[in-house]
Amino acid sequence: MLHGYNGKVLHLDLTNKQVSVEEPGEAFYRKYMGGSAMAMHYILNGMPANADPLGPENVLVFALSVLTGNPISGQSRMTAAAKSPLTGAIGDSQGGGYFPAELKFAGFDAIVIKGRAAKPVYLWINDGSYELRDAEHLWGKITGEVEASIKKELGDNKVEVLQIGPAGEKEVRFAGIFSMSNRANGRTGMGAVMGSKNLKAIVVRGKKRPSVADKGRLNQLAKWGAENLDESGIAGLAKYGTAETTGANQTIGTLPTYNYNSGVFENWEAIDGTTMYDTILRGAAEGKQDRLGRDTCYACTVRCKRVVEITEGKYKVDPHYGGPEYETTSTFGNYCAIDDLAAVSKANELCNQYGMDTISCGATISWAFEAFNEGKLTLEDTDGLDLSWGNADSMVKLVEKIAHREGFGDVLAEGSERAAKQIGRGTEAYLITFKGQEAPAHMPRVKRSLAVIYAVNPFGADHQSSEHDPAIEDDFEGYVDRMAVLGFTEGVETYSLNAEKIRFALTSQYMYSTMDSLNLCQFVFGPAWQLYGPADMVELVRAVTGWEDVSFEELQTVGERRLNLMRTFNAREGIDRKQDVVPQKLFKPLKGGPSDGFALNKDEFTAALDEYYRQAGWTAEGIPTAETLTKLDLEWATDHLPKR
Amino acid sequence: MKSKIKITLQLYSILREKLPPDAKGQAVLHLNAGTSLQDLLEELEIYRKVVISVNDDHESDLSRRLNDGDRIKIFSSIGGG
Repeated sequence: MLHGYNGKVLHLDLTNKQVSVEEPGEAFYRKYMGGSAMAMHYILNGMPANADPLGPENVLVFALSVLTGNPISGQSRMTAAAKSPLTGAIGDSQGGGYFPAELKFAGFDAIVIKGRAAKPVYLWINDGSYELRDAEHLWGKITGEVEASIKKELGDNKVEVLQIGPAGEKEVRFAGIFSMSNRANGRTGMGAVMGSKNLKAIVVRGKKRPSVADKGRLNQLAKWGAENLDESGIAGLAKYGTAETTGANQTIGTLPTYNYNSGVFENWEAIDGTTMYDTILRGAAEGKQDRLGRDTCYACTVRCKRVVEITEGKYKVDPHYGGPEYETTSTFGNYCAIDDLAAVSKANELCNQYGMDTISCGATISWAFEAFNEGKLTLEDTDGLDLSWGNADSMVKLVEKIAHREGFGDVLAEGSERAAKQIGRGTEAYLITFKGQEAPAHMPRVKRSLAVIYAVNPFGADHQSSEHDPAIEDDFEGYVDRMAVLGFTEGVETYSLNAEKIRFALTSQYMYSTMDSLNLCQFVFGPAWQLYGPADMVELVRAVTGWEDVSFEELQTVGERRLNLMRTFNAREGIDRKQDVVPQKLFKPLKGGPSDGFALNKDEFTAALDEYYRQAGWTAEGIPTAETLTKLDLEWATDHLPKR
Repeated sequence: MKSKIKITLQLYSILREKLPPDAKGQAVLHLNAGTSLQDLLEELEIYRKVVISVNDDHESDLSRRLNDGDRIKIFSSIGGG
């Protein structure tokens, strides 16, 4: 009997409106577990080499795992993956909310989409049945309007709507895919891919709860999490949101400011999570923000999501569109030296309405700010907008212009790397992109393993693809038991980038890769400070699926499979070591605060890259070997390796 | 009688709950001279991983003894986000 999953994958060809259902079998689920690893199977096999990411040949996969939809915190997440129009490499993005669980209840574990519809459509999946419906009347509308319109049209307020906004329709290269109008599969431009297919939304409703092998053990694990949340490492994040980390980053000099030229922001407290909690969370004025200003994902007791409401002043914010995460307060805040939390929240609202990734959007704007402040962009280039550091009004206006691809916004809608190529004038020096994707708000000049991970990560810079350095450095003593499961019994010298640090980066990358295949939230599960540790992750898989012989090592192999399939995909596209580079800016010293003078060293970085490839079992060019793929039981993928 | 020092304390995020709600994490404390950061954490019953600044400079040495007039900020710390 199947436990945890439906055993059904929906295949949709939008060009000829053909739909079919595949039943892959238990061995397939055991091998990939779901999510991102499963998506790679369909993408590598279903997409020809060198496909246009915005063409009908691109394969867009939404995938859940064997754990999604079960009653425990941190499981209602979903992968969106396809070839990225931002990077030209594999694209991959994880998102939460209620849609992932609802898709599971509706009877499917994944949706594999190719082709292009002649006219805008949406896919309606209702308890195992499915149909394509006209979406022309929804085209051009913002997320909240579309959500309301579809609920009315279907006569059901409980449907979950996954959609693109107008930015996805206009193929903004960092457009995301949204549910609840505020939960994003944000990164790598998956919304532009969906828009290129004329697919406006996927709507789901279902009543079928997944079978669980051992409900008692699952309940015990869920109960332990709820009881231990307040004493756990994520207690602050739960109540004060991810932006609670702003002050700590400021203090150690890892708060990227002035477009990554400094690690400290003088006015950080204005945009900090504690300030957000006290001032703009819904209900804050009456002291009711714990009840009214926090939201969650299906069955999650953590409730870390922010609900911001601003009813007065220049920037009013509708709580329907949630509130900013740390990444968002950073890219629209400290990256641009903006200390106006209302403006930052407005930018977040606009991104959620129009459907854009807040990281790439904010970081692309901060690139423009630096170019302007260095005299490389003029008012003539920016449609008259003054992009002086800290100019909140101009930042908000740029977000709107990008969403509409209007004027200078059309240049920025291509992402900062393409914008720099178009503008020229030496503005490439201000880029903070990896494979064309803008860097998130964690500082590789200080957390040095992140420099390697950002560079080698198949879909560009990502802060949620490995554990950060402190867990093996200054904080190691606090996580001894959990880190031992990963094979680490001693810490590593702070700021080092030696072979042991690389082993830590790679091993934790495998675990994060596994979590993106099990579709687990990386605040709730993880190798160190998270609520649940690696042993709990194994117990969860066993309790849900009944695969009692699953080990941590087997799960690590799932993560390793995902990474190797992604790198194989990239190699097929001609992307290898040549693209595993860091922006030149990171070799220049940071200015001010405790990280003053910190910079990457080119020789040290090159040696670390060599060491990473060696440990990963790849060639010196960063390509998986046939031997490595075969060892991972991925012999089929060797056909996709470039011919020598 | 031991001499006393006066410090100002600001706690952030979940740590604020170590003080009464109206304090919003702020307090002026009169401590015995020679009190260390570790002593202060124990006094506040803070046992989770934290990041501390003294007079706006990062301080990771918990044996550091506090001086009269010091401004202490304490943050809860997570690795990612």
